[in-house]
Order: sequence, then C-alpha cells, then structure tokens
Amino acid sequence: MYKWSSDVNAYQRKLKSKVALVKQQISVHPLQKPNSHIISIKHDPLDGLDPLSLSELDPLTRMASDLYSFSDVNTRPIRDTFEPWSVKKGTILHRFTTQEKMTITTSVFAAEHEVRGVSEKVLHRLEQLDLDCGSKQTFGGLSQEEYTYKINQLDQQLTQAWNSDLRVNALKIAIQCCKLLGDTSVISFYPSKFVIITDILDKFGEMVYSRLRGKQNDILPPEVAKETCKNWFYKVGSIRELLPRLAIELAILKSYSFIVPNPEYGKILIRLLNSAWGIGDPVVAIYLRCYLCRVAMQLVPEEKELYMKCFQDLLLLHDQVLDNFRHSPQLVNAKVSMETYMSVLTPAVDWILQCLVHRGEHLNYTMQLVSNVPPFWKSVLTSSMLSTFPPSFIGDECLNVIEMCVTLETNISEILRNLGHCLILVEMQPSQARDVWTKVWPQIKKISVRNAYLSCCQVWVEFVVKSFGTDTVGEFLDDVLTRVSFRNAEQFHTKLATIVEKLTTFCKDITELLKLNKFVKIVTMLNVEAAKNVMLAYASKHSESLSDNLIINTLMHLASILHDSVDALTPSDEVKQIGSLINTFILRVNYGKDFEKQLQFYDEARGTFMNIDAVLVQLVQCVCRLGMNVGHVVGGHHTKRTRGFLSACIAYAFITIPSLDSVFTQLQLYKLTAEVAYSNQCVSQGDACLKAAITLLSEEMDEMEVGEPLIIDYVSNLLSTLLAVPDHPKESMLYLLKALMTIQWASPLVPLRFLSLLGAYAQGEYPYQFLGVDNNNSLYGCANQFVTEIDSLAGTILNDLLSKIKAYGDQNQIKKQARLSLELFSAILNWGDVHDMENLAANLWNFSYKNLERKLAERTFESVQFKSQNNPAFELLISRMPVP
Amino acid sequence: MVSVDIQLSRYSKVYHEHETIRGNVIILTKSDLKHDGIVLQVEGVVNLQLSSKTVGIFEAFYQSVKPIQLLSYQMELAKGGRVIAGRTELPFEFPLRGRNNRALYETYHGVFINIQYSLKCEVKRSFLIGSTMAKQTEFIVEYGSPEGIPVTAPSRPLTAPSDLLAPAEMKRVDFEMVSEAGSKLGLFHAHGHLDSVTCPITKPFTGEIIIDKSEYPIKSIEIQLVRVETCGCAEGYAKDASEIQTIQIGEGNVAKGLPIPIFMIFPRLFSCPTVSTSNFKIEFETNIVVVLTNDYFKSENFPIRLTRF
Repeated sequence: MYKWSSDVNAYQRKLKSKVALVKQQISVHPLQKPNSHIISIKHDPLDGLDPLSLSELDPLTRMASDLYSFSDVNTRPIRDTFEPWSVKKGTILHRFTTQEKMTITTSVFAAEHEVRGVSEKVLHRLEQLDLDCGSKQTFGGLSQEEYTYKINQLDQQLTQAWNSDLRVNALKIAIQCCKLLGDTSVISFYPSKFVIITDILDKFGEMVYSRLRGKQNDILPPEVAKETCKNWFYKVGSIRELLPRLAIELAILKSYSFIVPNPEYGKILIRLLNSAWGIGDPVVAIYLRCYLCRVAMQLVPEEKELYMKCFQDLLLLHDQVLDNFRHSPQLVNAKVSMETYMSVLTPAVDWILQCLVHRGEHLNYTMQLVSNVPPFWKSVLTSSMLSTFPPSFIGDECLNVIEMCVTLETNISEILRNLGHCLILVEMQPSQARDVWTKVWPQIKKISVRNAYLSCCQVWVEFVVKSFGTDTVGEFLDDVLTRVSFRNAEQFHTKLATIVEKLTTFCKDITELLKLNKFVKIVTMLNVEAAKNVMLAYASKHSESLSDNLIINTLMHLASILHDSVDALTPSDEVKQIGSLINTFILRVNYGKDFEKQLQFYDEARGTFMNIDAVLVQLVQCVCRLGMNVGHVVGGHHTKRTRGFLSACIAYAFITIPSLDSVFTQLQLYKLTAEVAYSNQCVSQGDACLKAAITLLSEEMDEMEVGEPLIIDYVSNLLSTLLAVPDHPKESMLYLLKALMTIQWASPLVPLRFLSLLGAYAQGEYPYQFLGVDNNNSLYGCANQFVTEIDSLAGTILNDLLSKIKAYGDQNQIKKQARLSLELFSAILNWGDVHDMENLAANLWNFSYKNLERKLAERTFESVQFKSQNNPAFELLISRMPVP
Repeated sequence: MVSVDIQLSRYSKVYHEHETIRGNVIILTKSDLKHDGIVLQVEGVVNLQLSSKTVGIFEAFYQSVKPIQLLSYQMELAKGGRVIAGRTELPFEFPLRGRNNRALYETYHGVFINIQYSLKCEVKRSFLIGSTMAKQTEFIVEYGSPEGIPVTAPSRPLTAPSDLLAPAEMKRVDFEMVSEAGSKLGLFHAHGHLDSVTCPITKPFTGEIIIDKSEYPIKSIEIQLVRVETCGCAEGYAKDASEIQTIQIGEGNVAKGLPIPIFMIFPRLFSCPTVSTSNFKIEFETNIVVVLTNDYFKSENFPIRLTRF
C-alpha cells in the first residue's frame, strides 16, 4: 500500500519554475487577414448551416452559375418572349380533361382483334377485306384514357405502317387522325385532342420530310426527290374531305422545298388560311388556324401579313362562334356553359395572337380592333390579349384596358386573372396602382362563382401585397373570408394556400401580416403545411427581435399547430425541421428588460411544445441565459427579488431537464444550470443540479448514446466546476467527488483527473471561484483534517491505478502499461510531495521509461531535470532516475 | 432466277413528242442465259370502248371500236446468243415520233377511252430452252411546249388569275345559285365566280363561292370533276359522263357572306388537255354542289377546257 501526500505548495512551486513570457503590444490581430470576407453568422445558433458555407458559393456552383448567366445573356434576345408550343402543350393537356364518354370512328383498328373460333375467323377475314374498302368501325362509350389510348394506337400504327414501307396506309391513318379533329362532340376535351393529334401530324410531316431528304443523295438522280414530293402533294390534294386535306397539307408543307428551292410559303399559307373558311364548325376552324400558325411559325416566322390576316379572320368568325354556341345541338344538349366554351377556344386564340404580337408590333392596332368587336367575342379576345401582350404594354395602357374589361360580362374572371398576371410583372406608381385597384376590386367582388373568384384573388393578391399596405390587404382578406368558411376550406385548399404563399413571399414586413387576424384565420383553415410555410417565411424574412404580444401570440399559435402535428409516425427530419422553426421563433422573442415576462413566455412555450426535445433544450439554455443576464444587470449582487427570480429560472431548468430523452444532453444541461446557479449564489440549487448530474452518470452510464471520449471530456469539465464548488455543510467532506469515485470507470484517465482535482483542492489558494460563493479553501482553510482527507482519497486512487498498471502487465499490454505509469509519474511530480513519494516515483520511472518512445522519455527527463534546479526534492529524484 | 427490267432516263417517265427516249434494259441472272434475241417494242394506242349504257349490252360486247394505233415499232437490242451471269445493261435510244406523222395525244386513263404508251422488252427463248420473258412499262406523253417555253412544274400557290393565262384567254365566269322559299331546298342563295373555264392542266382550278342565305343548314360544299368521253364510229357516237374526283371545299354549316375558295388540282393521268378528233373526244366539266342537311342539293355545271399551257 502506497500513501499519497499532497504538496500544498504546488502552485507556488510551479509559478517559480515558470518561464515568464514578455507581453508584446501589437495593433493588428495576427490571425486577422486584411480585407477578409466577413462571415455573417445567422442569429439562430441551432441553424444547421455551416457558417463557412454562408460566405461564398463553392467553386463548382459558382462556375455553373457563371456559365448559366453567360449563356443567358448570349442566346436570348430581349424581344424573344415567345412562348413555344411545347410549353403550352403540357398546360393544355393538363387543363382540358373530361369525364364524359366518347366515340371514335375509324377503319384501322381491325388488326388488334382477337380471333377465336371458325365463325369469328371468317368474320375477321371479311372485316379485313372490308378494311380495304374503307369500312368504318365505331367504338362507343370510351373514357378519356381509353380514347387517348386509341389515338396513341393510331400513332403507333402510323409509325409501323411507315416503317414497313406502306406509305399509302400511313397516309390513310393520318387522314383518320385528322377526321377525329373534326369531331367536337365532347368539347371540353377538344384542346387536348388537338394537341395529341397535331403531334401525330407533326411526326408524319417530319417522316415525309426526312424520307425525301434521304432521296436527295448522289446515288439517285436529282429529280427523284422532286417527283416523289410532287406525288405526295398530288395525293394529298386529292383527299376528298376538307379538314384532312388542309391539315395534312400543312403537316407536309415543309417538304415543298423539294419541289421549289425557296417556296413562297407565305402565299401557300394564305391560300390554306382562306380555305379554312370552308370549315363550318367554328371551334374546328379556329383550331385549324392555330395549327396553321404553328406551321407558319416554323417556316415563315416573319410573315406578318399572314398572322394579321389570321387574326382578322378571327374577328370575322364572331357570328359563327356565337351561333354555334346557341344552336349547336351538341353544345345545347351537353349544357356547356359560356365560360367553358370560351375557355376551350382560349388556347387557340392565345396562340394566334401570340404569333401576331410577339415582336411587340401591331399592339395598338390589335387592341383597337378588339375593342370594336361585339361583347361576346370581345371577352374571349381581351382575355387572350392580356395573356399574350407584353406586360409592359398592358401596364402602360392599364387604365384603358380596365375600362374595356369593365364593360364585359362574360368570362370576366379569366380576363381579370390575365390582367393580374400582367400587372404584377409591371412596376407601377403607387397612385396608379391605387387607381387600378379601385377599379378592379369591385369587379372581382362581383364574381359570384367561388372558384372563379378565388382564381382571381390568387393572382391579384400579389398585386395587392406588393403595392399596398396592411389595411388594403386586410380588406382583401376580409372579402375572401366572407366567401369561404371552415367547412369548405378543404375544397379550395390549393387556391387559399397559394394566396397565403404569395402573401408571405411578397410582403415587405411579415410581422404586419401576422398582425392581421384574417390572415391567421386563413392559415389556420389550411393544413399544417401552410402554417409551416408561414413560419419558414418568418424565419427567413424577419431577423429582428420580437416583443409585440400580438405577433408573439399569433406565432405561438402557428407554432403550436406545427407542434401538434408531430406524432410517433412523423419522420425525424420533419421533427427536426419543425423544432428548428420553433426555436428560431423562440430565439427572436425578446422582451428586453422585462425579465419576468420573458420567463413567463418561456414557461408558456414549455407547456406548449412539450413533445419536441430540441425546443426544450433550447428553452433551458434560454432560461439560463436569462438568469445570467439578470445577474449581469445587478452586477452579481442579488437583491431578494432577483434572487427569487434566479431560483425560479433554475427551478425551471431543473424540472425541464429530466423530461429529455438524451442522457448526455441532460448531463450537459445540468452542468450548465449548476454553473449558472453558483454564479448567482444559488448554492443549494447548484448543489442539487450537480447531484442530479452525478446520479445520472452513475445510473445511466451504460445507456449513454455518446462515446467514451466525450464522456471523459464531460467529466473533466465537471471536475473543473467542482473545484469552485463548496461542500454541503450537512454532507461529508468532498462528497460529490466521492460519489463520482464510486462509479466504475473503464478508462484510467478519469482517476488521473481525480488526482489533479485533489491536488488542486490541496492548494492554499484556488485559481478561480464563483463570485460570492465560498469555496472549500475558505471553508477549510487548508486544515490538516482536510488535507488528510485529500491524501487518503488520493491514496485510494493511487493504489487503484497501481493495480491497474499491474493488471496491464499481466495482460501483456506493455505500451499501455508504460503510458499509464508515465502519467502517474507526472501526476506525482505535479501534485504530490516528491520528497515523500520519491521512492514510488523513481520506481515508476524505472519501470516505464524503457518501454516509452525514446523522444517522450527524453523530454520527460529533461523537464524533471529543469525542475530539479529549484527544488532539492527533485534533485534527489533525478539522481535516482536512470537517463533514458 | 432471271429478272428483266426497263429503266428510263427520266424518273418521271414524262416525254414530249420528238424527244429522244433513252434508257436501259437490265437483265439480272445468276447463271448464263441462252436466248434467241432481245427485242424492244414501243407502242402507243388509243383504246375505245362503247359503254353498255348508250348502245346496249349486245352491241357493246360485239361492236367494240377498233383501237387506234398512234405509234408502233420494234428494235432488236441483241441477236440470239447468251447473256453471261450477273448484271447486263442493254442501252436503247429512239426518237418519239408518231406513225405516219400522226399526232401523239397525251396519256390519259379514262373509263371508255384510254391513251397509253408502253415499252415492252422481250427476251425470246424457244420452248426448248425455256419460256420467253417479258417486261412492260408505261411511259407518259405530254405535249411539248409550242414555242420552246420550258415546261414548269405545276406550282400550286399561284392563285392570281393573271399568273395562269394570258389576259385575253382568261375570262372570269360569274355564277349564281338560287332557290326560292317553299321548294325542297328552301330559300337559298349563293353566288361566286370561277377565275377561268379555260384551265391549264398544271395550274389549279380556282374560284370563290359565297353563301348568302340558306334556310336549311349546309352539310357540305363540293367540286366534282367530270370527264365526258365521246366515241364515234360508223354507226354514230356514244357520249358518257363519269366522275373523276370530288373535292370537298366546305364542311358543315359554313359562315354566310364570307368567300370560300374553290381550289382543285387536276389529277395526273386521269385528266388531259381536252381532245377532239373525228373518232373520239375527251372533254371535262366541273360541278359545284351544295348539299344541305336535308340531303337535297343544288348544283351548277361548268364545261371547262383543259389546256397544257
């Protein structure tokens, strides 16, 4: 059994042997680089972003973005605002759908019949014979999907026929497709049908073109391509029906260049445009013109006359369009509303107008023409005009345009929507915006169909929030709320969500918005996602601290919605996100000097956000900070009241911590709380916290979710705190440390740290202490009893360590053994009375130095040598130490 | 396996009188081929047939009119011998000229009258070696340009009448289609014009029709191209009209008061410049037909003269 005897003068001894460094005054911090980037750290310390990533884009991203902006400048001329058909296509297909049953009549489906039995076989053969004679089959009662499937089948058969060199069959199939275009029985599906079928036609045209292209080579005589092409046009010219003839001629028109090198496409197109007058059904006629413009945009994009004529034809079509709506039996039977009818025409009219005006020419003229047509047609054209004209033009003319819109009765919601889309893109003077709004708002209010009304609002909300202050927004929301209630919020969910999203995206100050209880009401009518978006917008747009009760309450409410959405099934990422959103909010709340209120808020927050650990952790830290702030305000000398407040803070933390899941977090928070408590002279509370931490350590050692190094770190940290902590008068000496020592530590490092602490305890003066709290030194004043206690505790540890060293030896772990011996040797040198323990120290050295790395051994020896210069005890030791 | 093929120098196979027809007879064979001579025959014939409608079945059967031969000669490409295995090309060349200076009419495929020109190549083989092999191909004759104007391809976009004809020949024909209220057609009024009834065959047939009024909705507006074939013989002549093609120019209830273009391309082979000879005549007419939804129709007939230039 070895005994430990502490050196009570270890500090002084060290001070004496220290090489004093000379302080040097410098003006600039050596680590500060001139002109370095200022890294702005976000206010939210728990935000997951790496502060390094905030300063700059990484090089690859930068290159990519540079490239993008570069090509942006180069390839896109400013005037080119032309929206290509491929973009429109998707929207049309998405928008125009139907639930109705459709019928397809064609003569090309015979191939897919399944043949069973003799009689059917005969029938099938007869059918096949019939096929050549152009017999027709009718498939009725098809749903939209089936119908589309049939058309796609036609498409496949067309490709198949073409690939197997059956050109005439291919042409026949193309004609079949075109015939489908003539059928407007299910009008709400017509635009989608048009898209699908014209795709097939485009493909057909392309196939013809590339085949003729293939014939233009060196092997064949040059006239081959020309003759073949002529044949195509002769063949197409002799198609009996008007619509297929026109459509297919348009489809293959590009190939005309094989007949004449630079054909006058313009003239041909004008002829075809005139021929379109032969089509009786105005819907089909308008869509055919749309297809014509599409072809024309590829061949002669600059042929202004053509597009103008096309547009003028549209104007002339008015009577026919209206007549068709009123008298067509199909439309009357299907009870198609005028709005639906108009919306069906819109894509085609849009396209034609776009072809005319996309260069920014003819704008005034076109508008004048439109303003003079009868109201029905004016509605359609105005709507298209608004969606195709450059927004800047509409912006300049907005008051005139609005005058015009106000007179219209039908389709007003569509028109207002398009107008809104234009105006939100235009910078506008506040007074002008006010004028616009006073005219438009009553019109929007007049819309009686809720869906249409909300579609308008969805667009105009952006205008309102960009141009006006809170009161107008409030008025706006008021009206929206009169239209929807909790009961039907589900139905209009997407539209309302868009409104909320636009409000949060475009508002200048989100807190203003949060003050509007209408806004909050709408948000609460929607699902959690909406609340989350609002919180996100708040977190990213508003970084000042908050003290307004109204806003805090609102946000609290939204946050509680988020919090309540979390359950056992919520994915952990989601919980993390919600937690960090709530934390951001909590961190922003700052009542300034009103500490009571702040604490009250934290209290409330704890009650509300019980289920998310991240928030609780945040709250505990906030409360601790609050306590420290108060301590700072009173300059460390607490009055009765502030002491009470501090107790409250610590009590808050103390009762919150146990409900956390993570043991390690609990430990850290306990320590933090204890430190705060001692710093503010709440000795007994601090004591309780440390006790709790130590109990937790001893009980939950095995449950810890972190690795050993972290725990060792933590314990070392805790020990440093313990140095400044006085013993409890009713407990035995150093009872906290004793409690720690009872725990089984796997690593020998921890007992070594204990030794250091004990060494420090034994000193006459401690390096630090809590303000206003007596430490053990002042309690015991280096009394013999205290030093003896320290020595006996240290002795226990010493013997434990020695047996550990022995155990290492038994396990043949020479390296570890040597390391530990050296550590213990240093501990004795640092904290022990070398005079008393010279023997043990020398033994340890003899025992270990051979198995150490040479360099380490040499350095250690040198340092002992250095120390021996001032200390006679060391001189003796060094004389007994063999030189490594 | 042996195959015989005739290839003409022109892909379109269109020739004018007095031009030289060039080409190759191509024989592909896997083994040497013995033959008694290879002969090329050129023939141009007007086939006339009487329809049963005008003369009755009996006469039609017996009294078919003798075909008129326009052109016929034969040339020997190779004397009897052998063609070695592989591809053999035998070039030929002859001027296109009528028999006894007869005029060569344009190729025409009709119902009762057919004007056809053909090339026939025969590889003669006595029955001891095998059978004679033959290949026939048609070539097309069109009138050559009278004053040496180069023949231009039919270019369809030309719609202005002045492009089509010399002003003197061009004559706009106006027409009206009227029906009074109370008739089967109901009250109906339409008017329009044809740009000309003398039509170059390479140019489209053009005009305009405007529906002014119609009591019943319109179902369709169509142009019909009709051929009128007349065969003459000792006993008299037979005249038959039949449809060549119908082109729809209006579909459904078209807009009133707006001009609907009349536009039709003359089909190749099935139409030719109007011909009138002592033995036969080929003439053309167009009908403009407006069909109403009650399935009654109003039509207007226009005899037209087709020309090559």
